[in-house]
Amino acid sequence: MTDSFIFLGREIPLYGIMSIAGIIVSAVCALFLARKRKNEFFDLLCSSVYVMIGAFIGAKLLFIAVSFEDIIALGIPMENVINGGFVFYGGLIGGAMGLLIYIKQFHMDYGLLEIYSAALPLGHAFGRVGCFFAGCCYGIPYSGFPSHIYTETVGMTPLNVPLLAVQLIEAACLLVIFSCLLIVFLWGKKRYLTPILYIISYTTVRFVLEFFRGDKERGVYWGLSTAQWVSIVLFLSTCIFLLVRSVRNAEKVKEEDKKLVSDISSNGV
Amino acid sequence: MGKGRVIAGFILTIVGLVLGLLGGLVAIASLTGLPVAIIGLVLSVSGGKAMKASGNPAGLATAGLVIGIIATVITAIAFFTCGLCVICAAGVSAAV
Repeated sequence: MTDSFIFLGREIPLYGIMSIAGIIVSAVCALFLARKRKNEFFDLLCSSVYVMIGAFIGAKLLFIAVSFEDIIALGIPMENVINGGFVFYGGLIGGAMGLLIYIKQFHMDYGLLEIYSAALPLGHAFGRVGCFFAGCCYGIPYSGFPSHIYTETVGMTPLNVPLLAVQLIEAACLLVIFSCLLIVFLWGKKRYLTPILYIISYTTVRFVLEFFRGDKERGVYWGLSTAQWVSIVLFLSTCIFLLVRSVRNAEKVKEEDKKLVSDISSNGV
Repeated sequence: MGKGRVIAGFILTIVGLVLGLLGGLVAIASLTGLPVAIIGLVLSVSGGKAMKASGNPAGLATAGLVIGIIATVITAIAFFTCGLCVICAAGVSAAV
């Protein structure tokens, strides 16, 4: 299976094409969702600039952090480190930070978080298909369905060995997550549920699928991969946020009830 | 207010797009196209917000943003490679 094609004399990787396709479809989806919430197109565009820059910085920083020992040990030149190497979770966290900075700086509605979290899994699914074409993020040796044998690829992907197509499995899970988030966004009664559901569902899926990944060179610490540790941190952080928010809401309701009772008593009703 | 930044941003994003497309022929073009497109984007955001705040239309800023985002995506994906490929490839060559 080819992992690239030639365009204008330059070899363009299929991974890149799938990434572009993913960005386009999730951008169209975000536009559609923004219209539903009556967000302005201009605001969506401005926020996407912050998200892009944040995602790039986050993905690159996390890559350098998890690969620092290998970069030093293998003597990889800085130019190669800058050219290649991004980690999705770093991009997710960096992009979210970029969006929050935009919201705070221009006093925007947090509803933008809902739009991005609903559209992101769709683009991510395309990216995972790109990983399948490139042969990276490969699965454990497995000869049933779905599996694939790579005969030529880059890096340490085992060749001529049937590998579980974990990239396609993750892409399918992401499409399911996207479908569910779309339903919640369009017909859900509670606001701001979409980003929370996205974090909870994706971190769970990613944690489980990591056990079926064969590329252990990414780093394993105390039996779990870097992505699994990040999944745990994000999952727990979201649960703590929900707990704190529900305690605060409960206190707020109590205060309002007390005020109502005292108003009623003072009016002599 | 902000009109100058919007015009500058629009021009820079077009230049970034051209450089990004030329990157298919000359590798150095995509290297310079990315920062040019990003600067254009930042100027378009800043100028567009200022124009909207003063009640003026931000059509040119919107156009600059669209072109700049396209330029950034094309340039970045053509220039940067996949995930751990750099480390993996270096690891393989070190082992060999």
